[in-house]
Amino acid sequence: MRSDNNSYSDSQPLKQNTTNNVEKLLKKRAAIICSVLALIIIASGFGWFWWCNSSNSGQYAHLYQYGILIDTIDLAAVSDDYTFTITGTDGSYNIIEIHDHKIHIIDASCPDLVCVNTGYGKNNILPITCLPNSLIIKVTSQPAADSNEVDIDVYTY
Amino acid sequence: MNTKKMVILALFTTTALTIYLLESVIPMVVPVPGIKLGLSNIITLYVMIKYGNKDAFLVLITKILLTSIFGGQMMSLLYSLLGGCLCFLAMGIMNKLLQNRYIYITSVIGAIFHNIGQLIAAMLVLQSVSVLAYFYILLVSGVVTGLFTGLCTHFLIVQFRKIKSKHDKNNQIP
Repeated sequence: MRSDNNSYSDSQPLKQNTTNNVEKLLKKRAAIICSVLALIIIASGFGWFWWCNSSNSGQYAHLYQYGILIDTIDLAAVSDDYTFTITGTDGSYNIIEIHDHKIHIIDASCPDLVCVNTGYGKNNILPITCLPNSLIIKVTSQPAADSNEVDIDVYTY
Repeated sequence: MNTKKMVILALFTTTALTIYLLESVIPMVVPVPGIKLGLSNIITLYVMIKYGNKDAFLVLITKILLTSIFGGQMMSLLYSLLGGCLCFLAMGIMNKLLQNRYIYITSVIGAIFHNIGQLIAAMLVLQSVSVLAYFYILLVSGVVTGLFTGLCTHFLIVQFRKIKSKHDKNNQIP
């Protein structure tokens, strides 16, 4: 029987169990919350877009393996596209290509291939990282590397 | 808390644990580490709606402790703890405001705050502010996954009520 439902100590999310006034108040609250959320998302979208594009596009690519700078490439001075491979201690590898003055990873031995999906490295905010192989590629406008780079030594899900 | 309730909450914790371990195997093709579907929020939200905040918090804490022990990496304890607690706080407040209606809004806010909590944990662990670059995509993915889990919970509750009203004359289904 339907009436037996109410004797069970249960909260009632279905519409027929809330009165009309309460329903109107809840609807108003839900509308306010939704609109505030949408505003925040759109505003932070614009802010993030502006922040990403306002930093200078990089010209020098710094490659860090196990936290140590191993190479610096001047991307503007590269005339022909070329590929090279970085190998790690336990058989891991990343195949990196310089194409059209931009650097990206095209293949790697890590299982999730986040580094390959990141695409081209454009500025210093989002470096290309391959955390299982401890490889970080940062693209900056300075020819000398940063001294306070982040040493990522732990990878969790 | 009587034995029946304890057993039921334990079963909910087991379900949340299983869901979490299964969904950690699903790969997401996004260039951000740590994005996942967050399906165990369905259980947290359901227990919060049916049994109240205290029992939901018990289930959440037990699930977080057990997943970091079973998952093999105690490092993830900090991430899950911060994310889960912030998510629980936000969902608790939202649920109080909305009185168990509009579940998808609650779960969206919960997912967003979960991501914010994990971002804060990442900033603490890595000691750098640069991970804030991922903030926007975590916001958007929080909305999408929160919507999905919220709708799942809504349909779960609706179907349970239908089954209960049709088949359960002796009040045996929790």
